Amino acid sequence: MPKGFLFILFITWQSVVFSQKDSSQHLFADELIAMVENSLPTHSTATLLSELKKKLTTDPDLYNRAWAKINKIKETSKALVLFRDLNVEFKTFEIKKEDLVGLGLKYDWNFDWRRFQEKPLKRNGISFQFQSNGNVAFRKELNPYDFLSSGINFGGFQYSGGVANKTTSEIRDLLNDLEIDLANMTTTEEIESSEEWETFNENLVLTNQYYIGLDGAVELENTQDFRQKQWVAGIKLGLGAKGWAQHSTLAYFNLLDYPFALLRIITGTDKSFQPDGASIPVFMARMDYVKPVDDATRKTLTGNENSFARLNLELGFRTLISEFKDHSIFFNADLRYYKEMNAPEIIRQVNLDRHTYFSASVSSTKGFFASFAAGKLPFDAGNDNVYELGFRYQFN
Amino acid sequence: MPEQSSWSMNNRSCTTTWITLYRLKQLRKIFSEAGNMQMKDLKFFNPNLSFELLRQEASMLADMIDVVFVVGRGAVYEEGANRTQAVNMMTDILSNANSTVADFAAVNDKNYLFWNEKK
Repeated sequence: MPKGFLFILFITWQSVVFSQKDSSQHLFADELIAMVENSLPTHSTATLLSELKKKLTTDPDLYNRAWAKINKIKETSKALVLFRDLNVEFKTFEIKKEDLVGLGLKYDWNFDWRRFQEKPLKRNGISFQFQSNGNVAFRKELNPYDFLSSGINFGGFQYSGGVANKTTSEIRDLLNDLEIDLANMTTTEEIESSEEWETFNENLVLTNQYYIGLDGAVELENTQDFRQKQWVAGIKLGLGAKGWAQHSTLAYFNLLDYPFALLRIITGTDKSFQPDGASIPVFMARMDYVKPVDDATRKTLTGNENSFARLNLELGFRTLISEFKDHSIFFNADLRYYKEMNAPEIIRQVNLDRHTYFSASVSSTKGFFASFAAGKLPFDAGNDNVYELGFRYQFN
Repeated sequence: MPEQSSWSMNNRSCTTTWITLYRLKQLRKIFSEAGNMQMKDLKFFNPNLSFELLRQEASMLADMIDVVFVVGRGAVYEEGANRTQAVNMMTDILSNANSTVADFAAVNDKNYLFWNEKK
């Protein structure tokens, strides 16, 4: 990537994000700009990237400081209203087996509208959503997740469960008083061992919550250079369950959380073995009708660009590993599976009829995260093991 | 997205938002330290999910919080607000990695009149 592009990128970032009157808020941006300027004449791009990466991954407060500045700008800049629902995450992509490192970004832009029927214990509704998301590498050959998607969804959903009973006026008064008492406590240990916390939970009885959603969707999927693209129309089923009740039976079905429940005991985070009902995996299934357009690979293999049916499954899981005095550590995972139904023989022979993609990460509330990804998304040519270090940046 | 939000013990939306997130195991911080927490640090926010699945998680949590507020805690919707608006706005904030718990409470303050809260 040209060094000049890097320089322009950071100058733009500086002018947009860090244009504050308070000189103390220039500190971090100036730090980065100076490093880029000093490196340009004497260092290679690889060295510069290496220095940047080192800088960006060794300052745990970087993300917080950048975001604090964006919040300030948002108050005064009407231009950023346009980007209210655009999220951008800058990343360094590192492909281990080829020893390559590249900069890029992940973006998502989402407009989501829902209308509910006003029944608190069983909530039905309809939803409409426009979304666009994907990963863009500044050098496209370094994009391990070269899969961009834009489209609309329309459908219905239902939630059930939540609170066991409508509370009385007396209980609401009591809960209000307990809430203030608990808010005045100075440690989490004090809160969780207090009579107030016990009484609060006895009077606010939560139940399991369930979600089901069914949507129709039309989308365009493409690589970042649009050399491959396809139209997708299909139906999507989303399922979710949460065991909010204390000592929820549903939580014990969360088998994925068992090893982490043990870790929480070992590290003193939990006093007893308790799988987490709030961490039950979330699931989505889609059946799509796919129409390839300008898919040279497929055309070469099959001699045509005929439509085909595709199954897409996704399973996500996040749970607490351990909690320390000033930060928490989470484990995050996501598994995606794509399967072309009744694929032509030639497609099966070259393993393009199914794609599995798995990513896992450990993240700390102090800002650092490390992740691992293996597999491929539908447009990828081969399997890659990708390690990723980064920080996040968001317009909102 | 709300303006930079104040986080105060005297604001019922702040205390009720905090205790609800605590009860739902989304955070484990004392009140005075919770306001600056970001959404990405709450338990539901899995950064590896596709965005549509993350939205599904956020909407599920928003739905639950609304039920706790209204059915469990006796909140009503502010004039001009309703369940659709309240849950949509909560889902937006929850899906935004960098929004803070204080921002979240500020949005709730706009949409809910909490029990015994003065207008």
